[in-house]
Amino acid sequence: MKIARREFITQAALAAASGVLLGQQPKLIGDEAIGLDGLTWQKAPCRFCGTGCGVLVGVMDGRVVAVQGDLENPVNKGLLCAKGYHAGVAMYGKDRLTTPQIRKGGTLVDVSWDEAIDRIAQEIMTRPDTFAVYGSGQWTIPEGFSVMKFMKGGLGNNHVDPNARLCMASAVVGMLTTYGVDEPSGCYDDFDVCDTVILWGNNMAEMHPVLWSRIVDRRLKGEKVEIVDLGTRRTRTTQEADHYIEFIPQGDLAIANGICHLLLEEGGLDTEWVDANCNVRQGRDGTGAPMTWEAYRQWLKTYTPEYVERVSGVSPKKLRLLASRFADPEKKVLSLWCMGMNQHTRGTWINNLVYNVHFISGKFGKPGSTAFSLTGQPSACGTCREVGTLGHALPGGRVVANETHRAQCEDLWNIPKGRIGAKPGHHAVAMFEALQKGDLTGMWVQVTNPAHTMPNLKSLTSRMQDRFVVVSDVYPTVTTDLATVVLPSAMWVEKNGVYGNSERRTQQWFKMVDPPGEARDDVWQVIAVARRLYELGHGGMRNRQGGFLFEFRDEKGESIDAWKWEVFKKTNIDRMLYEEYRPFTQMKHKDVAPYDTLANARGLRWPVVQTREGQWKETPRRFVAGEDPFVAPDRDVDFYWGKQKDHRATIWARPYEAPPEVPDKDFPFWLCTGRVLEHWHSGTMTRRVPQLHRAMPKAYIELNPADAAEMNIATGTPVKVVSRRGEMILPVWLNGRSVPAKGSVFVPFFAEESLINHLTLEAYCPLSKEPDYKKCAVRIERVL
Amino acid sequence: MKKVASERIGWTGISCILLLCGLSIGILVGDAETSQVPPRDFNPPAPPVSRPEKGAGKVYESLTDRAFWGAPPPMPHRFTKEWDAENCLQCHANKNDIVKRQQAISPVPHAQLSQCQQCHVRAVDPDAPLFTLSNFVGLGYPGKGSRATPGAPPTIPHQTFMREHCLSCHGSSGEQRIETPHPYRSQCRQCHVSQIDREYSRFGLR
Ligand code: SF4
Repeated sequence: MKIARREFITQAALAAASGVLLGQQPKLIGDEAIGLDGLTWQKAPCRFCGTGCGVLVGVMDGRVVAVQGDLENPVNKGLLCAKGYHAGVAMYGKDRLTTPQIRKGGTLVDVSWDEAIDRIAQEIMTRPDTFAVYGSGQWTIPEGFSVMKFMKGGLGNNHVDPNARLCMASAVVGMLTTYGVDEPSGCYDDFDVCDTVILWGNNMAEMHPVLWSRIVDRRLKGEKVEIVDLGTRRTRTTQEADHYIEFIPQGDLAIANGICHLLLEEGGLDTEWVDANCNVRQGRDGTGAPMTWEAYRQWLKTYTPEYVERVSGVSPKKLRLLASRFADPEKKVLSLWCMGMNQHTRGTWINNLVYNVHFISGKFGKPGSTAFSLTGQPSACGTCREVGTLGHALPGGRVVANETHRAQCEDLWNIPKGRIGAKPGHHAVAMFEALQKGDLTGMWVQVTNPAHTMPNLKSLTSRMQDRFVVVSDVYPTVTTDLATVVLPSAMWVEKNGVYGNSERRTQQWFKMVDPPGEARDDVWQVIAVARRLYELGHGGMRNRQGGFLFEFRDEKGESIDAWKWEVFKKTNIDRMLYEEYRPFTQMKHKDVAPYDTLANARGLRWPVVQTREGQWKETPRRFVAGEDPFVAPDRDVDFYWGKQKDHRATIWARPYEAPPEVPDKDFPFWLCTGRVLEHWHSGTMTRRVPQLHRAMPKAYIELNPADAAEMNIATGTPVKVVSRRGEMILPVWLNGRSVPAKGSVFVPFFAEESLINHLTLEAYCPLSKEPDYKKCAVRIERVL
Repeated sequence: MKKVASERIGWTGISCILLLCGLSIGILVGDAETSQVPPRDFNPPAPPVSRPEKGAGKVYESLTDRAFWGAPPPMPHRFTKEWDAENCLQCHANKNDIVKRQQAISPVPHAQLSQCQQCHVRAVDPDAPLFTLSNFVGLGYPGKGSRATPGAPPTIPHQTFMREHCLSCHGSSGEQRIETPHPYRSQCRQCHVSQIDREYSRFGLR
């Protein structure tokens, strides 16, 4: 024992001698270094994308010094992408916000927390009904939940919507209309066993890199996996694809119907599966009358391969190639998509249609065969969708318009009956329109950067500085530039948190380091404002007994003053909020695991139910007998929340419809926008990582080389991109990372000095209210 | 004890190899009609690295320009193409043959992965201006392993996951802090055993 200890000390001394590295310049600092015995590793989910990779965070002397992939996390099995490895570096940008600020005479001035909180509370006191919260798919579950309780349960104001509206809303409404409940049936395990992957407008190699590796690296083990890339741009993903099928934007609607048509007419229909599990409905509007199978078959007759070619540009041969994969009873087929299908003025429809293809071919709910919606943000699923931080929703899949639902929430929140308003709040685009017009007078923005990321910025965010805008963030952004109050927030492992990823995996982490300066948790900020309102006499901040809305008690029943930072800091309020939230999840069979169970697991996929032996068991595939505990005993597949209450999913007859803006004589190119591997969203975190910023320092415009040749444009040439809404000058990158189809251009949106959203269109899917960032019309002008 | 020995080989040899690698390849454009992406060997990729530019020595030194020990090193040179992951293996292959392995330049230490650029982003200009300055201080090198007796083979003081091929760092090329005096021996872990448990304080031994 003694020897082992001495050995260890020797090791530590040796290790100490190796020193630490500075961020940019490696530097040995010899004996001053901290010994490795001061190094601890703790688990957390990655801060960035919806993949939800597990990381181990190395902490030494109160600072994050390293991040490694968590070998034991089944999502990523030790691998991370460039963003994940640098998640810790992203916390240490020199310009972290560390003091609350209030705009006085046009400039932001440092103030105390008390003053900032009081200022916000006074404003809400004056105009409680025209105040909104605009949140994020990067909110932790307790953050989203506390805002819901504050706004809907406290202020009785339903104006809460997240940036996830711009990201996943179409996937959500797609699932709700198809099988009556949000979140995918399949899981990442399906990626390991599928034979064919169909990517519906999805550049996985850059957007979900670790999941991409999970598929592609199977080939190195000698497994065969075929990849079909349906796209409008050749990307790194295309490089690994067996087939690249290029289509005209919006043509995806026709392609999906065209596949269904071929399956019905040329073989491939899985009659048994469809008879057991589906009903068919007319699909122009959201309600849709029932349709007979024969009527559906007739309806599909429009979508002949020739018609599909006319609308989508995809040849009959390629369409048959797609159909043949679904028709082959031996093949396990996996469809994947993300923003290509969701940021779409018919986003809900195309989501429905891809499910149709899988239902008709019976390729659903079987290992390796499913339609799986990938998520952009790390907790768009866990927070926005499951907690329901949306204008119309309440936690647990409840909606404000339903009286019973409101009553259920009022009971669980212990607030007086009738507190929750029945009128849905604004969805994201409408919220910013209302703020622009002055119908909303105030807004609290948390964990997001709308003055950078909303579409058609001028028409939606140009009056933000005239309103009362509070921004909680970790760095200065273009949105904090417009704010009245800026609150410095704790980031990632500077606070406790729970995220929910794309495959229904809920992952918990503990706070590991202190936030810098006076930065504080978003949850605390909400509770502190609520408390100030309570002190000012706002009735909504009281529970049924007249106590404070956010009442917490310790084991002895003593009240915890969570609004006091000193108390909050020492208490795991996250755990209490999460446990308060957990009963909501049981209302729609989305049962999440208890906090303490999660603390000891690398995430668990809900529904998580307790076995008779007391174990908490996760569910890899939902709706499938033998895996999902809620499947009725007589069914193989059970869509237990099916809209028609018949335990079936719906096949929707959704037609092709042209997009609202198509290229014409004046604006002859399609503009598509998106992310890049190195940067997360508006780049506020990743651009502060030297390694990532230097790898991808500025925005550019990709053109098809043939188009560029016609205009005599070379790489590096600055060009002016002009849409009906705005214009900007960008350097051209030809044959670079990606090559857009002829007649289209691509611009990444991460760079705040090149806000491409001045050009994008705010038109949105009428069902999901999600705008289309992937297609609008622009022209390209030479400037030199 | 104050400084870890940092022995470096001259870069001349490697630079010569790289000089031969200055060719570029055409863009891979699939056959539009059949939609078939050309098979891997359709257009045998030329070595992907561009000619080292002025001050190349400095660029290559900057292999250490990573955020912390354990972060994927950025690629210190240009690629002819942005999307040619497999081209990386032209120079960095992890070959089975021990001689070839020794000839490879920083052979890939994790052969089970193929999407190089997912983690290794480019760092062609390590002095490019930053977006903002960073206060990050990264974890340093793990130091040396311990020896049971003087002359006994030292233990491996770091995790070996993703570092399965020791010569990547400890061979005669690549960014080695410690260069093996016996690169002709291929079964490193026969003698050098791993000692990683100290990295897991919260979750105990692995
Ligand atoms: S794939 Fe997504 S979750 Fe995984 S490391 Fe990269 S950014 Fe993080």
